[in-house]
Amino acid sequence: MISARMRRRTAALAVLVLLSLALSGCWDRVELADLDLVSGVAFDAVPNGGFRITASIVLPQNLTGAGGAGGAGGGGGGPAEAVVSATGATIGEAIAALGQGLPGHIFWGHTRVILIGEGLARRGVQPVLDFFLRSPETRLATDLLVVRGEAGPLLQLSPPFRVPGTDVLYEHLRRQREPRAFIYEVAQSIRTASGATLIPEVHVGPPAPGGSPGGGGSGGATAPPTLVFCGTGVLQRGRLTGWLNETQMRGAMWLLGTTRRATVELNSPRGTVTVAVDKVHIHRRAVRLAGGVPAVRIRIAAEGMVGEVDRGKVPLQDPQYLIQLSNILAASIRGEADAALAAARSEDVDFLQFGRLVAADQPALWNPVHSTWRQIFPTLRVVITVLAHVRYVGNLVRLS
Amino acid sequence: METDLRRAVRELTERLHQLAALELNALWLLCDKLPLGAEPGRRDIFSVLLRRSSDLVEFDLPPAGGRIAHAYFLSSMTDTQVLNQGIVGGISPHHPAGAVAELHAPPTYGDAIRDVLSGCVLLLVEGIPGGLAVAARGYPKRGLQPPVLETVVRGPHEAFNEDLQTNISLLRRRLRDPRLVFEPLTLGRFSRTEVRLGYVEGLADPRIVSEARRRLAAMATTAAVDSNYIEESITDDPYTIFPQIDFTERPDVVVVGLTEGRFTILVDGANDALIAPVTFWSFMQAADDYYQNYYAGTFLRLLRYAFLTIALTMPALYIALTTFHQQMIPTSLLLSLMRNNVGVPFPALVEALIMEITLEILREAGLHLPQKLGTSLSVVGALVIGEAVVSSGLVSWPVVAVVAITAIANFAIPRWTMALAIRFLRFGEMLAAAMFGLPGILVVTTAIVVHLVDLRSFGVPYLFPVAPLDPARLQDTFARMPHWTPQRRPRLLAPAWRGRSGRRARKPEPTGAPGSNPRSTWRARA
Repeated sequence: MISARMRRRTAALAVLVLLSLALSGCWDRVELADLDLVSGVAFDAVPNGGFRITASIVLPQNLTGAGGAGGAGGGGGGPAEAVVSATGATIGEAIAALGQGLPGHIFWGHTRVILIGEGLARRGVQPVLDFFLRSPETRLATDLLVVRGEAGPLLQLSPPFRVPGTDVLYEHLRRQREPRAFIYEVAQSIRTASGATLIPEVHVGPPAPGGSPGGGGSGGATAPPTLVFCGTGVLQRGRLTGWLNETQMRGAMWLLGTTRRATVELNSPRGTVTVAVDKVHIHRRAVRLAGGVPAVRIRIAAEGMVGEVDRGKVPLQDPQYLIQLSNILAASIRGEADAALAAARSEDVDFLQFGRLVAADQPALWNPVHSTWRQIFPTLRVVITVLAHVRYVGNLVRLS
Repeated sequence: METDLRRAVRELTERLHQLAALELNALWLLCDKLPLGAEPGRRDIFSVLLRRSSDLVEFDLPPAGGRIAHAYFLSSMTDTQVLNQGIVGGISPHHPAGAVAELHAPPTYGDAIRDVLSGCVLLLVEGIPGGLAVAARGYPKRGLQPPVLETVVRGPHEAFNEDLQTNISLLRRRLRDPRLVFEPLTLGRFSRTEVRLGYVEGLADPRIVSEARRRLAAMATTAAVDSNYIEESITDDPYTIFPQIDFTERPDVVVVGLTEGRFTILVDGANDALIAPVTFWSFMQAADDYYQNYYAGTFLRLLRYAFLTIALTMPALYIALTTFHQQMIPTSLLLSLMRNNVGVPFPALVEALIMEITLEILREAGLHLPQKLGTSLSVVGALVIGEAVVSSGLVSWPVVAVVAITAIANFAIPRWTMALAIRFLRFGEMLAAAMFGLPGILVVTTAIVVHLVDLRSFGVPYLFPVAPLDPARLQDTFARMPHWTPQRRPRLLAPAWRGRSGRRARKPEPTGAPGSNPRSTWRARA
């Protein structure tokens, strides 16, 4: 039988335990006002082996939007983002140095793009990946880009369309047809059989001629420089080894099987037709040849429709012509794929992930060759079959 | 023995004005014991004991058959028309005495006095032992009015009022079956409130009914002025915040409960009826569900569960997400929140508490305010406070939005008692969220669910038929099944019940001349 006193003591103990629970809370709490939200970050190499970090930080007080407090619609004043920079011998030191100039908690949870300068990319991106993969705040699917030249200055450009400015980069990657490189994918590629991956490239181009400056009517100002995406970088074991031009990049995507849509300009004997390829089926397989030699077979099936007719009188109503056009489309895709394959062979980098393919499909073959893959790769037999159809010509058969 | 009692009562009565409290109580106890005889002094006892009630009327009836009769009644509790026609007229030689409604003979002094207090006319005839209590109750009562809390778009608009007899007749009219019984009880040491335990014999589980009877008999209260006085004394778990007995002001809801095998408790003076046993799910069912299309009913019912979740967790989720898990908020929303948060000096918890408490003030004030000032309060509350709190930088707009949505969602819970519980638990969720973020919300919500699983209402598990799971009886929990589906009674309520209650009228067979049937024509041709 529990006495009243015992019961009172138990109750007091329970209250103490419950109260002590409260003591353990709150420590990792960060209020919105204390958040320094990093919308984009750029890393560059500094000569003595260190790093320079450049971050664009959102200034919420300058953000404007519908329904702002007290009608603060246009009177925001200053820029919506501040770009800060710091250097350090390690990434951690650089970030600590960055933090000294900032009032709040540097928050990586909404960082949408990580830019790597060319110099650092050639030295190796592992330290950057390491930091972000360890940080609990960062998303694993954050886009990594490589910048031709210095990465830091690119953050300084703030395109007038969106806040935060890095949204322009992010949305471009999301919508366009370049390959994307998430930090976890790049990290994985270092350890995989092929050891190489592609990473989108961006650089600052000259101002668009006749472009108007954004926003608030500061007349006569020069047009802002544009961001140019063309081609892609090739990472071999985390180091930038070369670039692919646009044709090679498109070919690589055909061979990797990542193409979903494509727009191909075809020069037929009767005129120039642009075909929008919107149905793609790509089948990649590693096979075993006689004598235990691996080979790769890639089948590309593409269907498209006529997107525009640029020159000439094109008999779209003629089935024979459509067959001809389909063959030209197949040849065009094939040419792109061949260009990519040639680039991979000449640079001796397996960014087409053939090693991975062999390891997955023919593990018995992979084990004996994986140590000598670099020697085997340039002579690997690759059979590419392209099947293309131009199916839809639209209702606009004849305009002229 | 009886002589001693009588002497004691008389002595105490004579000194009535000098009696101490203890002696006064003793006097009433003795009155309960003392049989109402024919002794000559009994008039004095009544006169003295009831004299301090200024509404007592005492008069002598004209002698009939050579005997004088004395009548006592309270003018405040008696219908004078019944009195004049039925009693004064009835006892005259021209009319037989039995023309009046309800007659009985109180066995003791105590009973006789209580009869007078409850509106009877007490007749004492000189020289004849015992008395006659004639029910001629008549007191002011409210007419039938539409329900205040449980309004419906379609369906009956009648609500209970404070008169027990009216309420019983409202139920009888909807359930004309001899198996519907109302067991009489009197509760309240001083109030002597009339209470009825109503159930349908054969539908209600006799074990549950006898348990209800036992608990009602065992409870003690000074005055049962409202049904909640009884509800709180007979629940299974006296410490829980969740309602374990439902109350309703709608007779139709009670009738449905009765046909499902539940019992009801009607309390004189309370304008609602108690229904038990109930489950958590019945608090999420509104009468409206059953009066409109079942697709709409199901949709609204499912929505209500979403409202319940919002009402319980939305401010907590806001606090947890904005202070611990900013990664989980979409970037553009986070930027918008940050913009609105500029210049607000308080942590998210304090902001939310300021807003919640402001709203509680408004609600509480609105409840106690004279009705005519209600509109001005809502103007001050909704417009002025909302705008001023943000403009002065105390609270940010998103918090105002979150708290406002939460408050509205809370009102969408159909049962007031459940809404009250959720309103209270919300603060616990908020504190946990402020300390531990989402894990805190998870732990508190789990604790609530564990508590709910533990609860019972007259032995029926609170979460039945979800826990313990009874898939066949889930049909009316989340969805509102059509009235023509065969309904199964909650097993734990009425184990003896078998059979189907729903059946749909079939489409009539096509009628017509035999030749008009297409199939027979075809056969003839073949």
